[in-house]
Amino acid sequence: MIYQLVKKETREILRDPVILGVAIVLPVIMLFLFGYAISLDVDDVSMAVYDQDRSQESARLIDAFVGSGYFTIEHYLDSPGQVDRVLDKGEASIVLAVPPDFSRDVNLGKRTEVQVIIDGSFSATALIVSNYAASVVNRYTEDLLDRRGEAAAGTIGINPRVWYNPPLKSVNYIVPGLFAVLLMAFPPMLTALSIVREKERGTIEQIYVSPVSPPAFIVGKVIPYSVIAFFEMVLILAIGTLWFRIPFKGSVPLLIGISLIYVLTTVSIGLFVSTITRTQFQAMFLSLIVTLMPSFLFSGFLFPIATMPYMLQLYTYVFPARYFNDISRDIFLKGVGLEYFIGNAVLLIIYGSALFIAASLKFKKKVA
Amino acid sequence: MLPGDLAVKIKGLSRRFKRAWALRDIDLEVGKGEMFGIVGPDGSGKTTLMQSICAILDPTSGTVLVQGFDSVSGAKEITSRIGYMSQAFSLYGDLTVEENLEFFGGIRGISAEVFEKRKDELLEFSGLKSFLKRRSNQLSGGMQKKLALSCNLMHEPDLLVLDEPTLGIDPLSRRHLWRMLKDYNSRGKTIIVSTSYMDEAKRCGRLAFLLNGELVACDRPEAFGEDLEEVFASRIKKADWVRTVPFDRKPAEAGFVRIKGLKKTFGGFTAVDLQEITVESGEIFGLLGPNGSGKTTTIKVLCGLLRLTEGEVEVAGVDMAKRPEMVRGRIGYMSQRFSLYLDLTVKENIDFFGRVYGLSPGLLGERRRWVLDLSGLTGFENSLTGELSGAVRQRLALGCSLLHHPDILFLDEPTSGIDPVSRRAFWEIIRLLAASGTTVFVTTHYISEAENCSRVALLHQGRILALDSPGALKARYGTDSLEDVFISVMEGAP
Repeated sequence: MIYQLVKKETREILRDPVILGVAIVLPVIMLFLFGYAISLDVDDVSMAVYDQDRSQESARLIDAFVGSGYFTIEHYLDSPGQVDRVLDKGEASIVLAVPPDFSRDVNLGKRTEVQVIIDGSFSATALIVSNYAASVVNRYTEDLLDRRGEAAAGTIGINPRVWYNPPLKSVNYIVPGLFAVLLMAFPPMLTALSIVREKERGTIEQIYVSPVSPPAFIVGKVIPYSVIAFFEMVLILAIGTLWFRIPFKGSVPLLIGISLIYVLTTVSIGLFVSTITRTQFQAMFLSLIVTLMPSFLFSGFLFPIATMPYMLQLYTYVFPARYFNDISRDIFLKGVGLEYFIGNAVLLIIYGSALFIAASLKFKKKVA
Repeated sequence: MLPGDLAVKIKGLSRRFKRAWALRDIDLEVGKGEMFGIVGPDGSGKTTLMQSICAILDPTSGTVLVQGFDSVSGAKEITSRIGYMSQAFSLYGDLTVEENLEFFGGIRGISAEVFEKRKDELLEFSGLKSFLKRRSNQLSGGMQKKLALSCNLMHEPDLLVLDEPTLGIDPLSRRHLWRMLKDYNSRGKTIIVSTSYMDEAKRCGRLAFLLNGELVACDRPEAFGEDLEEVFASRIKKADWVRTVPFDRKPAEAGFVRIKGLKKTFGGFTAVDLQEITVESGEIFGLLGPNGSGKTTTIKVLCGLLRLTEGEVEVAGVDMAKRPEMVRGRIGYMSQRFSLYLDLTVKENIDFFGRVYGLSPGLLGERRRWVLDLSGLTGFENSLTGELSGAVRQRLALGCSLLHHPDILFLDEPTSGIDPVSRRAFWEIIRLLAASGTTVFVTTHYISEAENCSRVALLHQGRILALDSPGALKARYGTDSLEDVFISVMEGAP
């Protein structure tokens, strides 16, 4: 009987270009949009220099900026008024101002300062630019001491080494997170719509007046949409590793295994939505609210959960995307094994089973 | 009758939806092998009763026993033994004829050999054999109903429940469907069927007449009297809402339609190809034909909703080949699907459509009173449209399409799904409207309604096979029933 239900559902899906479009094309479009558009990487920062010293020493400092690879000098300025203008017009995001007696003080071994003015209108990048600038100046200072043959006695240098994503590329971080988002966004909505569509068209009454049991009907819906979700997953995995060249550290079977559990959970959310809505319109909106939106906002996909207010952190536990987001990044970037995220995996299983049972109980073979 | 001989035994059944009672204290017994009809006006509780019998709706109070099982505790037993055809098309549109049969056979757990045998029988019987690979949403309405019935006969249920199975299908398909039902019934199977056709009601062994959720009468059709429709009309104490609402007289030439060839093609398919027709002001012109014969397409071309491919058509003085949009202010259009806004009140709907037609506030107030009077809704201005019955809603829709006093009114299956008594009242209005000089174009599947037309055209595959007044057509075919004329013409079609 389940076989008949699955066969019917599969035929309907294969003949409906809209379903296939939503299931396959939309996630790919989103993957490319996010892969390219959401980038917190900062390079080629436009820079202006107001060098009042014009000495060999100041030229060395400026070279250190250019040499870092993060900065491109767009303007050389002659007056403080010009500093205001380039920042106002947005022609430079950072201005380096070297004081007139910079080389004299440096050569005397006296303490001196350079001024760095940063366009802070977008705080996230401003912070990064500021850090870059500080590290460039640090390196210049170390280099200066080196040239003089003076070891920097009693100073502590930080030797940062970034693990898991050494180039700190956003895309390496975005794509594994997108996994959690896309599998949360589309499969449940499609599942919910497919059941509610039967309510709207009246075909569900035929199911009511038949020996088909509620769990059989629901399983008949879950299987085809889980298969679709599985395809989505393989597609995203392939594009992520082959096109965006994201280093995949972990085990593929492990990721696929956990993803299946996750997909069953998300599809069960769709099922649940379908049992409490009557029209496709309602089903679509409710799905958006309980799946798409929280998967973006509260999964840690873009906004780290650790920095959220405590109450919101508790709220994120309601959505399974949060558990899977952690797992996905663990496997992708850290390459760790099951023992590291068994807790999250168990939570997912409990979550999915509870929803499936709730949906089966809520699904009554009655018209009202 | 012994309980063992009963297919259905209902005792004290009541069902409430929110505040309204859909069924009140029904006692009913249906014997095994009966052909049992359910009739009653719109909103009288026919569907609720059938859903209760099918165990997909629990009673608020009372009990329903189907083949000895209680509809609440034994719902599973009931649903696996019966067949139910709801009013909505209950097929999967993207699946082919064969796949639909396969699915419905499959969920009933029919073995492969039995399936093949029954499939062949049913296809033969329903005349769907040559459409095996066609998707069911590409079948005509009549064929879809026959397929839906076949899907329900796959497992040969002892009890078959059908909710207005012939609604909106042409007379020929209707005749086929009833042949299938009669045949199944003659094999000793019980059939419960609701209908708004009185000729179908007469073919049932016994009839239950529902009114406002109560069982008013239950007997053999003969016991009700000769003219069933008359009998029911007299029982339904409707408010005398058919008033002689004054209609403004139209100038003589206003509603003139002249067709000198009308051709509409979709891709390579010719949907309509008409020769010369002239329709005078004040005529009631009927378009009859099977599903898919081009009635709706013709109406849409005449309304300027579809552009004609070829030909010369003049509607109310507007050249439809050149400037079809000019006709809009001169015509009114109402279809079966004509959707009032169900979540607006009666007054809000009228005002909305009035403003769409650009009526001034003063004129709108006057016309609003006129529409309320026409639809018998004076005093109910602030009721939600969704809470009105189908028949009342349809009269309100008619009123809204007449707000701007059009010269020509187009009605596409305006009475589909409306009970006979309300249908009769609806036609009363149409006649008054025509008498005042408004031209009316109307399509319908209720052939008996076409008696009201001054002339009818019988369409088949986009062409007119016969065109004359109902009286002349009947004389030509030597019969006193327009339905027989229809069947003869269609069966004689190439």
